[in-house]
Amino acid sequence: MSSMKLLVVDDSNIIRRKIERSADTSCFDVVGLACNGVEALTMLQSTQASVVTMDLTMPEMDGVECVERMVKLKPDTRILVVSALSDVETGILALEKGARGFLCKPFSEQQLNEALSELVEGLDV
Amino acid sequence: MLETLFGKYRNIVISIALFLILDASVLTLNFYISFEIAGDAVDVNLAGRQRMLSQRMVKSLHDINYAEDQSEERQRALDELALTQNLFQTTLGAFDRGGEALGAGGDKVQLEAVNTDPALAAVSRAKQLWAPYSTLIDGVLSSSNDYELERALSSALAYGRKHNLQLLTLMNDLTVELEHVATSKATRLRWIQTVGISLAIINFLIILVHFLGQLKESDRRVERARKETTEILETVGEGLFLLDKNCLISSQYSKVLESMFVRKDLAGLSLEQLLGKVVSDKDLKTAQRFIALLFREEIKSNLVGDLNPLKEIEVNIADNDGRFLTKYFSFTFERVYEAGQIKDILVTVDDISERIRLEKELAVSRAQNEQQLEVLTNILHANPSMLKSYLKQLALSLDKVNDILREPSKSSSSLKKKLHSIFIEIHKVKGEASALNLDSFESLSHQFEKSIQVVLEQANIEGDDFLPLVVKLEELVKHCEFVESLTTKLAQFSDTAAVAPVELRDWSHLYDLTDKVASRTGKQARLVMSGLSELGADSPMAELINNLAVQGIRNAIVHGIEEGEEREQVDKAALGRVELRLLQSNTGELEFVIKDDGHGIDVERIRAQAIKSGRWTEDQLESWSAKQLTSLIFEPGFSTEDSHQLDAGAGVGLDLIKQQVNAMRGRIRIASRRGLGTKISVFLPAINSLKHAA
Repeated sequence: MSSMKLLVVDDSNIIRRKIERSADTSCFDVVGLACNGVEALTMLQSTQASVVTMDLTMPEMDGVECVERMVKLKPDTRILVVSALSDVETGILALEKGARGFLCKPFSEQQLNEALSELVEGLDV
Repeated sequence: MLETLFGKYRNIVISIALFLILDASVLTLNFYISFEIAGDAVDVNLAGRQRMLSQRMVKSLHDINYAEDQSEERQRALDELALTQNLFQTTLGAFDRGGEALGAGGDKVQLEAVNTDPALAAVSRAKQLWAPYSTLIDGVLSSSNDYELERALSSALAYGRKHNLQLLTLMNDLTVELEHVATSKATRLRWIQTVGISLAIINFLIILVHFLGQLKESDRRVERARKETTEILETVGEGLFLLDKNCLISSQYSKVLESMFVRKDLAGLSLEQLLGKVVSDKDLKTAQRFIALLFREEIKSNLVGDLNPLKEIEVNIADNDGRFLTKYFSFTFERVYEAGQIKDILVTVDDISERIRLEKELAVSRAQNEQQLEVLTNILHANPSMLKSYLKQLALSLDKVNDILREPSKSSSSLKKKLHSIFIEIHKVKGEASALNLDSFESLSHQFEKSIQVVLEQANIEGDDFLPLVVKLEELVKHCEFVESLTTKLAQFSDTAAVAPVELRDWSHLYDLTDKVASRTGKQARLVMSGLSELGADSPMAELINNLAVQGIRNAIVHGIEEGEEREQVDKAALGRVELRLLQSNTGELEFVIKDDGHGIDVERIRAQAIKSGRWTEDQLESWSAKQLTSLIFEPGFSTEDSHQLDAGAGVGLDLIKQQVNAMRGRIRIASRRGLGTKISVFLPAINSLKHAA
C-alpha cells in the first residue's frame, strides 16, 4: 500500500509540526504545511493531496471557507477538522460544508492516527 | 427474490411444485388412458362388426344362391359379399398385425395389433378358418359364368355352414376380450385418478398442517420477539428511541422516556416537539444540524462525537404540577444501518443529574478543603490566645449584628441607620481579622461590607433588601463555628493552645498588618511601637487599644503615607513611618498616639468630598474652618477614598474609633501638618490597667 498525500493546515507552527511528526509515515506522506486557507488552496492544487487536516480559526481565510472551496475544487478530498471544542457550531458548519470528521484539540498522537485512518477508510490508494 | 424462494421458503415451494407435478401427471395419464380407452372402444366396435360381417357374408352367399341368374338381386348380393369379405379381411389383418381399417363411419382408423393371449388366440384361430373361407369367397366373386359360380358357391356355402358359427364365436370372443381390456383400462384409470387425487389431497393436507404450523410458529416467534422487545423497552433505564430521516420518533421507545420528559405518546413526535421547551432554541437547532450530519454517508460517525451538542445538557422540564425541574441529560446518537444504508439514528438519553450534582459537590468540597487548609495555615500562624479572644469578640459582634437585623423598623431612614450600625460592626470585624492575618474572615467581612454598600446605594431601602445580608451573616457565623471547631481540634494536638493566655499581650501582629496594608496599597511603611507591651493582656483596655491600633495603622498608610516616588520628590525617605505610642500620665489617664509622616490631612480634598456627598452645600462648607472640615472624617459613611477597598474607602474607620472612644468616655485630638504628617491622640480615662513593673 502506497502512502496517501496529506496536507496539514493550521496557523500554529507548533500544531503543524506536531501533526507532521505524529502522522503514521507508513500510511501518510505529508506533502504540505499551510498556515492559512489561501495557502492551503494553492498547496492542494500543487500537491494534489487527498487528505487534509484543517484548523478552523486562521488569518486570511478561515477553515470553514477553505473547506468549502477545497470541496468545490476537489470533491473527493477527505478533510479532518482539527480544532478546539470552544465552538461546536463552527465545527458543525465545517462538516456541513464538506469536511468528514472532527478531531478536537488537544489530541494525542494515537488519537490523530486513529482519526486519520478512520477518515481514509474505504479510500482507494 | 430467488434467494428467499430457495432459502427461507424452500420447503413450501417444493411442496407446491410436488402438488402441481402430481396433478399434471394425473392429468397426463388421464388424457393418455382416455385416449387409449377411446381407441379400445373403436377396437370393440370393429370386433363386434366382424361378428356381424361373418353373418352378413353367409347371408350374402345364400342371397346369391337364391337370386335369379343374371338378376339385379344377385349382383347386389355379390357386391355385398365383396364389400363384407374386404371389410372382414382388412379388419382381421389390422387386428393381427396392426394397421389401417375402415371405421364404422367409413373413415379410416388405425388399429393396434391385439396383444392379450385370449385375443391373440382368437385372431390366429380366426385367421386359420378365414384363409380357406376367403379363398372360396374369392372363387365365388371371380366366377365368370353361372356354372363356375354354382360350383364355387356350393363349396363356399358348405364351408360357411360348417365354420360360420365357429368364426362368429371367435369374433365374439375377440369382442369380449377387447371389451375386457377396455374395462380393465378404465378401472386402472379410475385407480390412477383415485390414487393421484388422494396423493394430491394428502400433499395439500401436509402443506396445510406443516406450513400452517410453521406460520403459527413464526407468528409465535414474532410475537415473542415483540414481547421481549416491549419488555426490554419497558424495563431499560435509559431513554431509547429511533429517529428517522425526518427527525420523527419511532413507534417503539423505552417507557422511561415518558417519565424523563413527563409526557406520554411520544411516537411520531418530531425531535423539535420533544425538546422544544426543554432545551434552548440554539441547542435544539445545533442538535438538528448534528443529526442531519449523521444521516450523511460520507461523514465518519466516529469522528463527530465531540460535536454532539446534547452530550451534557441542562434541561428544564415542567412536571405534572407545572413546576419546572432542572435536570441534566446526556444524549448519544448511533447510526442504524439496513442493507448498508443509514436507516435511523438510535438515540440514548441518560439522566446524569446525579453525576453532575456529585461533580459540583466535589468541586465545592474541594474548594472548601482548600479554603480550610488556608484557614488552617492562617490559624497556625496566629497567636492562639489572640485568636481565641478574636473568636470570642467575633461571636459577640455577630450576635450584635443579628440583634440589629431583628429590630423592627419601617421607615427608610431607620433602615439606613440599621445598615450603618451593622456596617460599623462588620468593619471592626474586618479590621481585626486583617490585623491577625485571618484572610478568610477578612474576605468574608469584606464581602459583607460590599453587600451593605449595595443596599445603601439604593434610593429606596426596604426590609427585603436585608435578605442578602442575612445570608452573609450566616456565612460568617458558620465560618466562625468552623474555625472554632478547628482550634478545638488543634488544641487536642498541642498543649500550648489549651494553656491559659500568655501574661503579656503580643502586639507583633500589628507589624504584619503594616506590611500587608503597605503592600496592598503599593506603599512602603514600617511600624514603630512603644509602651504597648506594658499593657496587660487582661486589661479591659487591651481590646480597645488593639482596635485603635488596627484602625490607626490602616488609616495612616491608606490616607497618610504617600507612595515611594512621591515621598522622594519631597525629600522624604521612601519608607514611610507609622508610630504607635502608649503613655500613662501621672493621673493614670492613658494616651494612645497614632502618628505618621505622610502628607497630612488634605482639608481641600475633604471639602470637595463633602460637596460631592451632597450633605452640605458649597456655600455652607465655604465658611467652615479647617478644624470643622477635619472633624468630618469622623462622620459615618464619609470617606475621601472613592472606591471601597479592603483597607479603606469604606468611611467607617475613624467613625468606629470615635464611637469606641466615646463609649469609654475618652477624647480624640487630631493634629496634622501638610506634607509632614498626622498625629491622632486618643485620651482614655484612668483605669488601673497598666501592669506595675515588678
